[in-house]
Amino acid sequence: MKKYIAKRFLSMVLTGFLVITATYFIMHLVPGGPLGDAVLEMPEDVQANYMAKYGLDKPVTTQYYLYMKNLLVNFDFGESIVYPGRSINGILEAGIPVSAQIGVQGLLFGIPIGLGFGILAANFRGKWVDYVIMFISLSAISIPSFVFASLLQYFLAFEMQMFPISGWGTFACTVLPSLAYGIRSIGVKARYMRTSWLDVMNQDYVMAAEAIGMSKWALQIKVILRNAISPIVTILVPELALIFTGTFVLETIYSIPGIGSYFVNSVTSRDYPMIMGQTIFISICYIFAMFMVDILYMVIDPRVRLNKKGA
Amino acid sequence: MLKFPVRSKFDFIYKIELLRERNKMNKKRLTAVLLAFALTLGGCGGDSSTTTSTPTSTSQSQVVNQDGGVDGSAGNYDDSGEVIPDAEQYMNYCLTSDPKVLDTTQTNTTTDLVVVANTVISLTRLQMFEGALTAMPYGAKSWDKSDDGMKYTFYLEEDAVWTDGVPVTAQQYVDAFQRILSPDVASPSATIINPIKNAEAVRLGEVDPSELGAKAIDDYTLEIELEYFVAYFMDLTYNPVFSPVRLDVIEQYGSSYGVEAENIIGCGAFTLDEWVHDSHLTLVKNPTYFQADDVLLEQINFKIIKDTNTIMAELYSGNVDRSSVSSVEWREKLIAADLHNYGDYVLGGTYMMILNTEYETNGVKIFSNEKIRQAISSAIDREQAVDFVANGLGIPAQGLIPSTISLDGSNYRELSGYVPMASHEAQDAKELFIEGLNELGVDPDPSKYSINFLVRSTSAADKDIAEYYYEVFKSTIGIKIDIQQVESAVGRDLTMAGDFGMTTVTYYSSTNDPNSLLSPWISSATGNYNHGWTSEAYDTAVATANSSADSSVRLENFMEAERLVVEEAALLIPIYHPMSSMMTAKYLYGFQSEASSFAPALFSTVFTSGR
Repeated sequence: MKKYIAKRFLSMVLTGFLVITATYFIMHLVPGGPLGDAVLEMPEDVQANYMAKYGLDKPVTTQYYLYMKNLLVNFDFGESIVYPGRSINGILEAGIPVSAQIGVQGLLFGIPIGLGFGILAANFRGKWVDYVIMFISLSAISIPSFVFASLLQYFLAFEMQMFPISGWGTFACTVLPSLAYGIRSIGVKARYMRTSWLDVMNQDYVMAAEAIGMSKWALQIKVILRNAISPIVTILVPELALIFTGTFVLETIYSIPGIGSYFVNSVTSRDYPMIMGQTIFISICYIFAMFMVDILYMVIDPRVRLNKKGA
Repeated sequence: MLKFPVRSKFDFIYKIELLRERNKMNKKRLTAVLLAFALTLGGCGGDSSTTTSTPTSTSQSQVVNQDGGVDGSAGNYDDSGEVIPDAEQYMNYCLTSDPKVLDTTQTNTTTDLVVVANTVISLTRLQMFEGALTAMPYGAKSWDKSDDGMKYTFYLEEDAVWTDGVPVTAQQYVDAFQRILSPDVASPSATIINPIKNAEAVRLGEVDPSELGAKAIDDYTLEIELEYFVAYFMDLTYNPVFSPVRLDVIEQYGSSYGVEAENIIGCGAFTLDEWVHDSHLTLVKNPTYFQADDVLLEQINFKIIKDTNTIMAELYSGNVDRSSVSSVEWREKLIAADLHNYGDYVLGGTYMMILNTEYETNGVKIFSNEKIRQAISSAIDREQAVDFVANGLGIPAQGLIPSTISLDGSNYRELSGYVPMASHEAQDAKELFIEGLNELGVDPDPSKYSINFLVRSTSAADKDIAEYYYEVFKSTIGIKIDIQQVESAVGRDLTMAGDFGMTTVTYYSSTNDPNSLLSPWISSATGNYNHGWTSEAYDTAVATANSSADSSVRLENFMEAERLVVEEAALLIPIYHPMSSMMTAKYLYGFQSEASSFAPALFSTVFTSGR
């Protein structure tokens, strides 16, 4: 088992390295540079000064070497080009907790309701409860979150004045964005949970448990839940990883100082160090989440543990 | 290169209809919500239409129509009719992005300047004086000009101090200029101070920074010698780059100067108290400001709100006191609520098309012919373009220079009485185009030609606009345009390489003088558009206008330059001058609205009454 974990860990590190390297070179291959609109009127010599200031006049391979050295030795993502004087580390440190708060609150709201809906729908399969829940989940999945965000903002904040329209600093500010974030999660979780639950319900061992006289509640909790939850873990853990990365549209609509907008804008403005910082952060989150899924699987499902032992 | 298929004609007609309907219809709430989505979607892709050349000047100027005054009207008045300011004085203002760096030597973006300009004092400030926008004493209490206009001497305000008690001195202004020209700073504003003697040579490292034509004679006397005569030199002095800097403080913080509230020092009417990145900034009144007694506002809350729809909701709810309104729906809603004074202002800029004379299609350098370029201009219905492209917020262009620009204190457009676009509009686009093709000696059938149309933004709104032009050129001339939609960073590379047929851009004037919009097209200009057009006559006209102190000579030559580049050469096809619809809460007084088209808005005169 230790060998298995070590193997997974090594492959995790390798994947991370490949992602960083690939991103670095692809990013430099894309046409356009970080000279933004702000410097449109710069004469060529000023532009040259600007490029030299950020080391962009050197060959890409040299830049890559310098970047990686700085990253691995100092754990320094460098300085933003679009936001001069601000370190990527600083921007990430300030923005990640904000994005994560919305994400965590959103999931705290979305996951229990979603799973509950899924279980309910499975138990009332083919009844109106099932249809209503499935209709709600389908809508929650297919309607983009910014539509919910706009709706919530318009009705609850603007018309009824129950919450601030935008801003950051109080808990009230986080309610609407968290709801908008969580709604989508409800839909996905409900559908997955329903399928998984139904799958387990039809297994022979469930019938056997029912036959030996297990109470309805004990059956649901002890037998079905334990078995139905493992597929959910596969989608749950990566989702947990992505809560740190922020949501561009939600953060824009509610003026939340998270990192979502940097992720999108750094690409269009060719802010190379920012693109790298974001990519590295997100890929580490994601790769680590996948690693955790593997480990968790062993804990939840002994069959995985047994199979992998030989492998 | 992405090329998008163009949708059918019906789509376009439908959109025009929809636009008209929208203007007329009295909408129900649901429509508003749906439109809110549309706006949100539009907002994601960035601001509609093209690139801004000089972002320092995106506020407002000339009043077209107005309901109530620019000033508030909800205030409390005493017996003599004087407005009584509120006991609690604060203003909520909105920024559409997080400032990048609050240092006058490092930035030229509107968002940064509106904050930083209120924390420093520039040499002069722009104000209405006897009916004209004039550079008025600020950091300098008076100044002299030599007879040949080549040397200015500024006598500085002796009471001005920095917040740490250090006096503001002439050397600090010189330090600012030298810092702007330094290769290490790579300031985007470096070219603004080009008229100062040796500025360019210092920037290129050819001479020592001490050779710069700006010198501190003593602590309170600043002498600026010019490299070449510029009639509008005083119009540069209210630009925030003409503000002092503290090199000792900058040295202390290094590259983090100006990026956090703690790492900034100021000497203006307000000081930066708090800066939470991407969320808000707070300016508070500076007690050490030399005119602190005249400042009523105690606090300015800048809220960073990127989404247009959210800004409107906050404006409506009174959480933002003043904002421009670009959506027709919100405008109507706000006017109906009657909580704001509104004014439509023509901005000091021009939305235009640029044609590449070297562009080759079907083996023909199609835009090398004047008549063909003029035909493109006459094909455009400017009134319709205002409705469709600018959402109604613009006035059809008469020429390159907008009606907001003055020449030595008088309105340039009125003074010249010249309408360059008139001759194009009188022509039949198709006939003119075919005439041009005949002159080139090529196939005279317009339908055989397809022309690259570069869209430098990936937003849906700009795609719709491109499709509008597709229909315009197809229905008037019969040519086809190939829409090429790219990210702005890619677009810049393409235009610089001359790899485009036609593209659109909005240029804003950085000074209140026609020169700012005319000089980018002289042959020695290293611009962002490799359009292949040069004209000696044009270069001479612009140079003559700029080197003369005689208003009539300047007028004559600017008119000639405008005629050459717009009417005759049709290199540039002005379409409209953008407008801004400003909504100001009725309790807000003292805005210097007219000035803010050419300089960042200064809030030291603002106060509230009856909030």
